[in-house]
Amino acid sequence: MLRLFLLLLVNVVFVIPMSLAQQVKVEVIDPNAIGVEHMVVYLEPVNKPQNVVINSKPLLVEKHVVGQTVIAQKDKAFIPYITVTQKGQQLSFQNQDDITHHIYSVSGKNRFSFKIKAGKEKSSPVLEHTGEVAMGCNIHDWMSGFVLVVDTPYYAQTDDNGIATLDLATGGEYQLVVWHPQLPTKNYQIAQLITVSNNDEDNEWKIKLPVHLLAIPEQENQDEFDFLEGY
Amino acid sequence: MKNKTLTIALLLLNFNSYAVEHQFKGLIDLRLYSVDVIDKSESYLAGNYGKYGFDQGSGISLAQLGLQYHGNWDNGLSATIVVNGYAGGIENSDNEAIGLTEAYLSYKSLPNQNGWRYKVKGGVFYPQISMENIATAWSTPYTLTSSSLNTWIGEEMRSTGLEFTLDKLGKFSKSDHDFSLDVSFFQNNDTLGAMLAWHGWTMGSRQTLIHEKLIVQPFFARQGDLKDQAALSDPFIELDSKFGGHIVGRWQYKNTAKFNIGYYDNNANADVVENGQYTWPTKFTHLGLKVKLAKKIELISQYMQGNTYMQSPYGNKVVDTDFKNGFMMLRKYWGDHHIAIRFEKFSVDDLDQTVGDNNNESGEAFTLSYRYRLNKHSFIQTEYNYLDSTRASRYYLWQPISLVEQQVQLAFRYYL
Repeated sequence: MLRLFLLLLVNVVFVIPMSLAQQVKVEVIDPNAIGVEHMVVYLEPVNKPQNVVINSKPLLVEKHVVGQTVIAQKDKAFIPYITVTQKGQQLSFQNQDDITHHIYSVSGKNRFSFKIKAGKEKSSPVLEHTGEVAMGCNIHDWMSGFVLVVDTPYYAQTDDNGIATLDLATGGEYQLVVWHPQLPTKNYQIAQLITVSNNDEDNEWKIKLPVHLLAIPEQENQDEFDFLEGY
Repeated sequence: MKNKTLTIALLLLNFNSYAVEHQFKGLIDLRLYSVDVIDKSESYLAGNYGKYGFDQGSGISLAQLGLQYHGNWDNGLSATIVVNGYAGGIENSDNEAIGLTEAYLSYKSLPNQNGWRYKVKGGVFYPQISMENIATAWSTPYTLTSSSLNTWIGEEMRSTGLEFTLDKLGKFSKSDHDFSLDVSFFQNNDTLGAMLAWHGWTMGSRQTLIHEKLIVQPFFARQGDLKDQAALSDPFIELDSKFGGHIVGRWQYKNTAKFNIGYYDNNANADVVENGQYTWPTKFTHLGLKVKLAKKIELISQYMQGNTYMQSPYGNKVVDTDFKNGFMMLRKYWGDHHIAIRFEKFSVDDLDQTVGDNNNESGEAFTLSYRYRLNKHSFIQTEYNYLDSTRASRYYLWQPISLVEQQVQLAFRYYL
């Protein structure tokens, strides 16, 4: 829902003022031609046109910050497991559990570490670098979540059928990237150059993954009891 | 000098600037019990040979009052204090007590980008052996009584010292395997093994409080070769000022399997005796396994074998025993229900020739336990234990050497 809201906002902020809005539909399928959900799909203009707005600072709209992507900690798991956001934005962590979590990111250049008490919300620092952010909780080792920080406003995630829809300001040459933390390829992604035409109907792309995704680790402790200690 | 004071003051100020989070946890475990053995059989806790934590007969007991405090600083440092209290179940009230079971400071680093993380713990704490006692105040969520193997750990084992842990978290390299290595150095465990030799393996949920002493059984040799042994064994005493060591390796695969293997040696100098407390050099190896066999079905198993002995001031081994213990538990849970069955097999082999101190023992036990969750914090649990053992020393109290002991319990447990 929030994602939809954000996409709408992106539309309102970036697309409406432009006269030419191009919709790009990307379908991601596995080697057995079955749609793959939750894949990150983004488009980067090859020659960055002047009229594409790239966020450098979060935009404050009422209480919520545009591009503050919310990641919940619920039942000792990161929800959603995968998030995509734009460089220059922040992550907002919402602890919906009745215990403290100690969120960290120690890989790549976007590093942070803080505790969030039960029911509280905290924001990450502004994400200044692109790339994968692997998150964990130093209290509950099985918790695991990923954020991909991209340098383009054109990003989405595939739905249950493996389909992602992106609205571009204008046609042209784009680098189409498909990413997933369990995609066993270089940098966990595959990429190709596409040319987005000004005719909507031509802008459908089907991306077949060369390999199956690796198993997504279950964010669940082996012991199900609620009152465990670190014995 | 002034500078030094200033520096220390600044350091303290800096330390205080990290917010501390106070966390209190607890457990109340009320039991109705019925122990069926021979007439007048009393628990090992009362200095007799009863294998359970309650005397023969029926009654009500506060089987555990656990209180646990964690002070957690944002920088990874934390302080832990665990208090346990017990009442009832033993006729002569020797059981009634409240006190510390653990108290330590610990530090846990953040993992680095390759998944390496270290932890340091200092104070009084349990050696990492049990796969059952994983909940608040070292309770086990699976059953009301710990296995005989872990009951011994609760009775005679506590480390006073330092533990270093190195973790390798696999997720940073997208691996399903986590590894960890613990090394600890400790004192205050010089009489370890005395109670295991003299009353054998037992089954209960009683943990010895740090200040407590344990009643030694009245076998004949206490009028003979062992007449200098104190009537109460002090399990957490330091006699030889030497450090013991414990090393444990752990492997975890996804959230489906855990395995550990370790070696423990209290490294006691066998020559020391003070006020009737002898040093008991005790060594053992241990293995533990926890595997999900199917969704919501898990197998838990532990095994241990080792040796403990004590000697007279003239250097001959007065008590020398090998010990072995293994159990397998299957548990299944669905909704608010949890059921566990456990099979145990254990032995103590007496290797010395001391008259009036025959510690040979062998036995098997079966446990069936059912737990029902009333709400997030409250549980009803009922359990049946069957323990069939042969223990030569029961002869000293005119009890049958071969004996079946049965126990039924109904518990209300509240976890805070």
